[in-house]
Amino acid sequence: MNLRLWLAARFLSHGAPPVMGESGKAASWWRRNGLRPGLPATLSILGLAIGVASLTVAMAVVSGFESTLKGALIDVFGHLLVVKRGEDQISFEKASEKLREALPDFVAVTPFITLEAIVVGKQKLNGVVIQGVDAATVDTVLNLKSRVIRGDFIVGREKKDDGGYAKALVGKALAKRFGLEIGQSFKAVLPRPSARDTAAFVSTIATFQVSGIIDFGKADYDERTVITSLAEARHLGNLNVPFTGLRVKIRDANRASAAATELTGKLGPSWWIMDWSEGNRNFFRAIKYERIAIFFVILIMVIAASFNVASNIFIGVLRRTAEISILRALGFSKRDVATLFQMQGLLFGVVGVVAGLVLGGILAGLFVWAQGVFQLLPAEVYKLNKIGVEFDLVDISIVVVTAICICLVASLSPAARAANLDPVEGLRHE
Amino acid sequence: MNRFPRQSGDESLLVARGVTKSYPMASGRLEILKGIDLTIEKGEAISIVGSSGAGKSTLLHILGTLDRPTLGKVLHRGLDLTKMGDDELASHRNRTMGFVFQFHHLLAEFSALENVAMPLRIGGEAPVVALARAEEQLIQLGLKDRLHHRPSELSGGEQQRVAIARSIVRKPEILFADEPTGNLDTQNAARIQDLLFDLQKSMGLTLVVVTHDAAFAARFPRALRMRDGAWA
Repeated sequence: MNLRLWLAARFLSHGAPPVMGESGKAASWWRRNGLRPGLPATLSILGLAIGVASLTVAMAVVSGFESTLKGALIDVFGHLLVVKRGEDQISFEKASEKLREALPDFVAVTPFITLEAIVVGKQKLNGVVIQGVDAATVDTVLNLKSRVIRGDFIVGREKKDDGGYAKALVGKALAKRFGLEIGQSFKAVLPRPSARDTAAFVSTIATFQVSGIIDFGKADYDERTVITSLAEARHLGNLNVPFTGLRVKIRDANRASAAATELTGKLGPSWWIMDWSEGNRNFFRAIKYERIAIFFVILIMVIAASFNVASNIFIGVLRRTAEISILRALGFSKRDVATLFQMQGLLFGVVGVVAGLVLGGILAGLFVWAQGVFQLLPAEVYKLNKIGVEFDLVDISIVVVTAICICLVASLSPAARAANLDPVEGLRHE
Repeated sequence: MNRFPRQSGDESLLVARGVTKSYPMASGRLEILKGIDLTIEKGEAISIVGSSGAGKSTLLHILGTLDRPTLGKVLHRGLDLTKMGDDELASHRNRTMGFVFQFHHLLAEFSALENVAMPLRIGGEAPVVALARAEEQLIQLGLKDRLHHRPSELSGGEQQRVAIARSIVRKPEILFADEPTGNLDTQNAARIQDLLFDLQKSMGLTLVVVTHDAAFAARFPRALRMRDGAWA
């Protein structure tokens, strides 16, 4: 081990570690090697660890929030939303072919039909979006099946006119509001413009049987979404088009925005294209700025803890004038003495960061657990009912490097003080 | 017994020329050393005695490069130590000088073995080599059973013997001792005095000792007396 680092570690033990323990048995390896930090050093490390843990958890929660939101959006939205404008219609096969040619990183496409409706029952009304999906292709683009929390992903009718109700999945908040369970039926009223009077609406009443309850991961989706088959939606809407839009999956979700621009250029103005982030762009931008703001605000805790580290090293310097003097007598230069105390700063930093990361991991785990037990996030505010925590390697690296650098900077002043101590001071006996 | 400082040329082992040490005070400058001249030859054993405040420890610190003179110079084999930079001086001290103090000044967190190995490690020796040489040195001084003991687990005499082992393990040319027996009982003090003379003879060491003890000082072939920062 580097001599200065070795001395720095031993000096942190604040007291002579004995060879024998109090019980008469050999002292532990840690104690024998003087690697058990004294109480002041332990408290400084603890302060630093709490700062680092707060920073780690805050970054992990922000990353988790962003990632959970992104995951939820992509699971139910796909990467790209493509809508054909105008009267002339195109078949799904032709549209797929066109997209495949236009997008180099195309993976899959699925058609959909959306209808607006009102779910009625138990003297309650709730505006919903009925989304008709193609059971054969929906899994290639969306990730709805994995979000089914009760029941199965079965939509529409097994046969065209089987006499029963069309099967549908409902968002979990909607199911809760109307007390819907698997196998129960519910009614939805679909307003349609009247053929006789353009200013009036006629209503179609559709009855669905709940086949599954789905957790979209986003509160507004959970409250407002009913998923059924493409054919059923087409029938209810009395539509003569194969689909009202397409959802597309590409290789890299982060390239969706660029792909949307590229696609608009290639397909022309008769196609309307939107990527998954578009409706939430400002939100994601806000998260990005919040992440930076949170980092610097919590960093103040680490900086405050570093003052504790600095004062601890200062006390060490004052307590060890004799040791510093004898080391100078044995051949230590001023620079060596300064390095020794900078190494203490480094040790505080490394130990504090490691302890902070462990503590941060535990706190993050507790946060995830607590979400399952208590309603920590008001869904109506955050639009998410549960968020994961995600430890981003870049974030952690920034936290680690920043905290260690702060500790090193904190050690500079006491290290300079130690280096400039007159060696004769510590050797006086008169 | 020569009680007067010798004057000699630059070829001598250690030469102090006009060494003055003073500190600024509100009422003027406080002079601790007043133009001290001293020449020490290789293998000599010298004692410096004087009352408290005579400046003997300050002189020892300046000769040992732990302090710098306000005026004058210190030459080691003709090399002006007062002109050396801190890094160079530290390395020079490590290679050529050893120190023993009244209080052993052993590092409390380290075993006797680790303390003795310290100058070797500072000098760049690998830990294994340094520890082996330190062990050899401690065994030579009769501390075979105390290798892994911390300073707090040693008697006063043992602590000082470990400090002496540390001061000579790097085989220095000059050993400076500042009141080496000042903190010991008569029996242990006599043992340490004998040990210092034995080492001086067996290793060809140059020994410079500052002491209050007139009887100890009288055992040296050359004993110098200081009074008020000058030779008495």
